[in-house]
This record gives sequence, C-alpha cells and structure tokens, in this order.
Amino acid sequence: MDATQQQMLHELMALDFSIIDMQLYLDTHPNDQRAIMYFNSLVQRASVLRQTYQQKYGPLMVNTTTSSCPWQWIKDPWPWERQ
Amino acid sequence: MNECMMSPCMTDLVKTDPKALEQCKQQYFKPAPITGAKLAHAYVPIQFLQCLYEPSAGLMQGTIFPELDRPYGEDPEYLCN
Repeated sequence: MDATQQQMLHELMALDFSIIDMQLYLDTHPNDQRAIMYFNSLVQRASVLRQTYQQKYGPLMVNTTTSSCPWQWIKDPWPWERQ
Repeated sequence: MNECMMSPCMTDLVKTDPKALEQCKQQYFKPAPITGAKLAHAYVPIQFLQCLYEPSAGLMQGTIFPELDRPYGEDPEYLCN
C-alpha cells in the first residue's frame, strides 16, 4: 500500500470518527445550528474522499460500489496490509 | 485534503492552537455548582460547543471534544495524593 493510499485511508477514518462524535453530540443538542453545519461539512468531505479513494484503490464497502471486471472486492492490498 | 471543501463557517470551531484547546478543556474541570440540587439525584452539566479537534487529532485522542479529552491523572480532579 503506497503512502498516498495510507494517508487517504487515515483521513477517511478521521472524518468518519468525527462524524460519529458529532452525531453523539447532536443527538442531545438537536438545535445547535453550528454543529449541524459542521456535521454536514464533514459528511460532504468524507463522501468526496471516499469516492476518490474507491475510484483509485477499489471498494471500501461491498454494498455501495459496483464492480468492474474482474471482481474488484478481492483486489490487493487489503486495507490492513501495510508495507 | 482539498482546502475548499472545508466550510468557512467552521474555522471558528475547529482549533489547533494548544492554548485555546487547553482553555476549552479547563472550562468543565471546575464547573459552577449546581444550585437547588436534590440529594440522591444525578446531574450532568450541559455541554456547550466551544471548540473542536480537527478530525485527525480527534482520531488520535479518541474524541473531537477537548473538554471530554480527560486522561485520568491529568485532570486535577482525578489526581491521587
């Protein structure tokens, strides 16, 4: 796995983590407009990054991407295979 | 990360300055006493959003809220002796 792929994965993990933490906050503060705006910006950034990553390196979730031929899901390296 | 994807309205919440983050952390360490508290009732102070870790810092710390980033031993409340 090259450095760019690793960095993209890390950024994606960080964004997804922030999204979950903001969700927990918003569950108890549903009228906080600033928080909702930040949540939305995170979701947008994560979505764009996920799309870019998947176009470049293959699917992250099997149920959110179609596959070209051959079957892309088993294409190496797996996310945990670092060099 | 593409700069233009960062919403400009958020620049005031996400902070990287250690001093500002420390201030956010401290705000709940000595909370104002809850008045009219009844015995045997549990009370949770309301959290007010003041600043946030940027995503990569949040992932490292396990929370994006500096005020909830409270490793045992660093909060004077939890210090032994």
